[in-house]
Amino acid sequence: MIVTTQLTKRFGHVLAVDHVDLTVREGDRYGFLGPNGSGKTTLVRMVLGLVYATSGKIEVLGEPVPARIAHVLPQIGSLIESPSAYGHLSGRANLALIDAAGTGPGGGRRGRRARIATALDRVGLSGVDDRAVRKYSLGMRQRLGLAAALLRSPRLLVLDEPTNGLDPQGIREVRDLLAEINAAGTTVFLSSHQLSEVEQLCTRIGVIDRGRLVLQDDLARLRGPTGRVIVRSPDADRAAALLDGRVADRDADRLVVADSDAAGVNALLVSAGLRVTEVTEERRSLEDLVLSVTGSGSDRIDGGSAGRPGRPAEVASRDGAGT
Amino acid sequence: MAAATGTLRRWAVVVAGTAAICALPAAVAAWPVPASALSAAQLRTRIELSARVPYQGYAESDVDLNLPSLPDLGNVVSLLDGTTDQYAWYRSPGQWRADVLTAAGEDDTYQTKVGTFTWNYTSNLLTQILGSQPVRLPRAADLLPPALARRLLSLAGRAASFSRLPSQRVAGLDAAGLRIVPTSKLTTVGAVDIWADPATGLPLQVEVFGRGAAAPLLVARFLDVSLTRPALSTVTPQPAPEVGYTSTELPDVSRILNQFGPPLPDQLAGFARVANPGGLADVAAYGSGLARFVVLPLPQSTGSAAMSAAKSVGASIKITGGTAELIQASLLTVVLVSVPGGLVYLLTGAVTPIVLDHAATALLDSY
Amino acid sequence: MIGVELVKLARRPRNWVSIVLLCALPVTVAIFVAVTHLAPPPGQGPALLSAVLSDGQLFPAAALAIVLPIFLPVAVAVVAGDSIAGEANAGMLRYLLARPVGRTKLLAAKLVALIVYVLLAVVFVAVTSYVTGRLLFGSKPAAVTSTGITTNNVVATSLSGTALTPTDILLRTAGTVAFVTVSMLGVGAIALFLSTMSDSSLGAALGALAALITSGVLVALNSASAVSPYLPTRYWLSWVDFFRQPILWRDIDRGFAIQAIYVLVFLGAAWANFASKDITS
Ligand SMILES: Nc1ncnc2c1ncn2[C@@H]1O[C@H](COP(=O)(O)OP(=O)(O)O)[C@@H](O)[C@H]1O
Ligand SMILES: [Mg+2]
Repeated sequence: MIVTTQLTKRFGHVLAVDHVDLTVREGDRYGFLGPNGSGKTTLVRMVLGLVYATSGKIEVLGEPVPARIAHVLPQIGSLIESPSAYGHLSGRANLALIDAAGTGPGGGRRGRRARIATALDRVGLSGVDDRAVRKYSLGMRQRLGLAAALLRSPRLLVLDEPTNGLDPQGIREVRDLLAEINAAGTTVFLSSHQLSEVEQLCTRIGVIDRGRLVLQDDLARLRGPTGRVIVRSPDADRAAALLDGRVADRDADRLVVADSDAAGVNALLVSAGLRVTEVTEERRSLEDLVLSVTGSGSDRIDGGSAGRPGRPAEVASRDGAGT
Repeated sequence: MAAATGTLRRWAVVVAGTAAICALPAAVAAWPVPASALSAAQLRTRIELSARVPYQGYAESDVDLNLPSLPDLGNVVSLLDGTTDQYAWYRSPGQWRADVLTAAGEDDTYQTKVGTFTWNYTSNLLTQILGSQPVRLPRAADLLPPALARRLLSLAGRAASFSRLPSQRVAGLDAAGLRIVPTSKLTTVGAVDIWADPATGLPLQVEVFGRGAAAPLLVARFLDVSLTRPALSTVTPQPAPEVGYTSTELPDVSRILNQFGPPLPDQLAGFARVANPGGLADVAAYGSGLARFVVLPLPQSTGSAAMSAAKSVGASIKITGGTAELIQASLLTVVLVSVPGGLVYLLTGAVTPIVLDHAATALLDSY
Repeated sequence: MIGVELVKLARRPRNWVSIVLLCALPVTVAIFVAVTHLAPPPGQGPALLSAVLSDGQLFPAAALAIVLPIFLPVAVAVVAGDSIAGEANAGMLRYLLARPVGRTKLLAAKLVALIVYVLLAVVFVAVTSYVTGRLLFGSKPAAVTSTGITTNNVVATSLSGTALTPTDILLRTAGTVAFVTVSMLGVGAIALFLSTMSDSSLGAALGALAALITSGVLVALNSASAVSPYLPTRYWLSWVDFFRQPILWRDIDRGFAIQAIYVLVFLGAAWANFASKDITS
């Protein structure tokens, strides 16, 4: 759905996006993670033909961008950085204007009312009155922005920080909505600086740091087993003795066993008459992973010793971010 | 990169288009004008005979004579120092109209079979000028290129040499050029250039140069002209009901001329009086060719006011029998002289100061 | 897209406020003139204002002369300066372009909306001032000309002293409305271009006004006469030529042509700048 090749954008001296090879496949729920100022919005704008790449190629829905952008955009719904609307008009009037503005199929005057009603309904604004958007809460505006993105039942949704300003309840609703839309066949590309949001929704993630794509993989694979098993047992001492040599780590009644076969470990312990509270495969933590490949947010400006204390060196170090 | 070259290409298109638009007037101006095969004498004859050629057009005169402002001559001074835009409709010598256009009004002159009319928007007044006008002050219509060119040609008479100038484009027409250089050393006019339509002889542009000057002191030219005959209704006054109406004789000079001065002599300092049949006895022109000056008596009040105005801007010169005030403008020389009895004479023309000096002396002598 | 722009134009209260203010100025002038019966002398002050005392039907033209030099261009510069920069400021530009709306198409729609705005403003001024003129100055009854002909359909005098019938006045006022509208398009195009250059509507409007003021100063300057035929304000006042008899088309034609050139050049520049600009607003 989105393929970028060595995509680079330079704003004067600032290298906002640096040789990024990104691949979003059809049906993905792609989470595009990165600290503030890492280049997420810039990449999204390039994909949508708003910002022109300094070098590199973009292909969206199989078509080159920006060359065939007019062809591609009608099939994309987007939310870029923050929702916008004409403050003096009502939400419905805004949607009507946005709906009428586009070219491409499915934007006719007929059915506009129905499209708007459906979109409002999907984002939970079906009961909205005629008050001006100026008087909306941030959450309502966010929902309205989403409704605008959903107006034409797009094949691809490109959402830049879609849950900004929403309360936990709203975040959850949006997450459910996106999962539902995705299930109906729409590819979702979502950028965020919040790991938990991405972790809970996405099937695939890309991590960008200071313009470079430092990680891109299926979430399931990233969070795959480490080849170790975690065992909790009141008889931890005996268990440790039994698993002699294979215990990698121990913390009171919690043992980390260097063995990828949880069932085998369990059978071994149980057959020895030991009590087992819990046996699980150890899985990688996404947070640790992401922190290990990213530096400190590029919106931080640390000035030598005068700067605020940074994150632990082994995490903040960019050297660890192998690409 | 693609975007950058796209931007460059777009800007190139826009800049090239803009340059093409801007260059268009210059290109049209630079487009070669076909030369005319007419000789100077032929062209001159055509211009002299062009009074019957009808036209309508927009003309602009730009005069820079540096005249000081003299009382009661305000209109004339602004005409002879500054830019005058007018639109003229000309059917025949007896039927024409010339409008001096201002931002929020106009001053029109109509010449009809019945007589001359003037319309002034500011005073909302249509004025009929009764009788012939043996003498009058210059008016805007005199600065229309055809009228001015023919007048200068007739003034120059035979006392000048004529030569052809390269053709140039005036108001979109190819115009053949004629240069007139007066033979007399007594005139301040160095040369007069006239460009005229070679087919009809209609003058389209006139330039008057001072002696030895590179830039013309007077330029009168059409900015827009069509050699078509305007409708009769256009050149006939058709006043609206609200318009005031009056009639007058000698509208302008009556105010400033003393019509009861003694008759002027036939000779003044060796210059012969120019015949002016039906003219006033006390106003006269002397000289020949472009070396010609007029003598007019001013009434007491105007005369003394003019005298004191001249004293502040001009130079006093000593002449036998009294003093006179000399004003030397770019092209015109003016001398004011008081004669016994309180009369002030104004002598002016495109002549060197020495001419008027002698004339003023002679005038004093005759008293 | 043009429809969308027109809807936005119509639903923006600010635009209507500016039109109301534009209409209010001539009405104010009319009230003062009607109460004091002191119009500027003919040939001075706003053109034709002197003539309205005798007949109110000329007031629409006089009203246009009142708003033309400053009020109208300021309103036009503000609206045109807001066209792209305002969308950028509201954050709507990116959503419109991602809709997608072609960038060239957006510029064209903005220009059309601007033309409609100017036309609306000018027509409103003409209509309100017509009503004002009829109410405050009345209309002349039948009269007898100096030549003794009774004319029951002559209501006013042209600058050339000829009679104008109501039909004449209507047509010539319509010509004036068209001319004044077109006269504003040059400024509009400059402001539109600046609006694509900057994200500040105010900056774009001020830039266009600065260009106008420069043009006005140069037109009045004798030593700049060589360039004055190419300046956007050079032929602004030529609408009075509609009220001469016969109508002098020369400057009117030139006024139309020069505005067309300014629109062409600055719309071209706006297009060149905007078509591949990074939209980071
Ligand atoms: N218009 C611009 N001009 C200059 N620098 C910019 C511009 N837009 C973004 N940047 C820079 O590009 C980098 C990436 O910004 P952005 O894409 O907005 O990051 P994110 O969306 O991940 O927070 C930042 O360093 C930012 O300062
Ligand atoms: Mg961002």
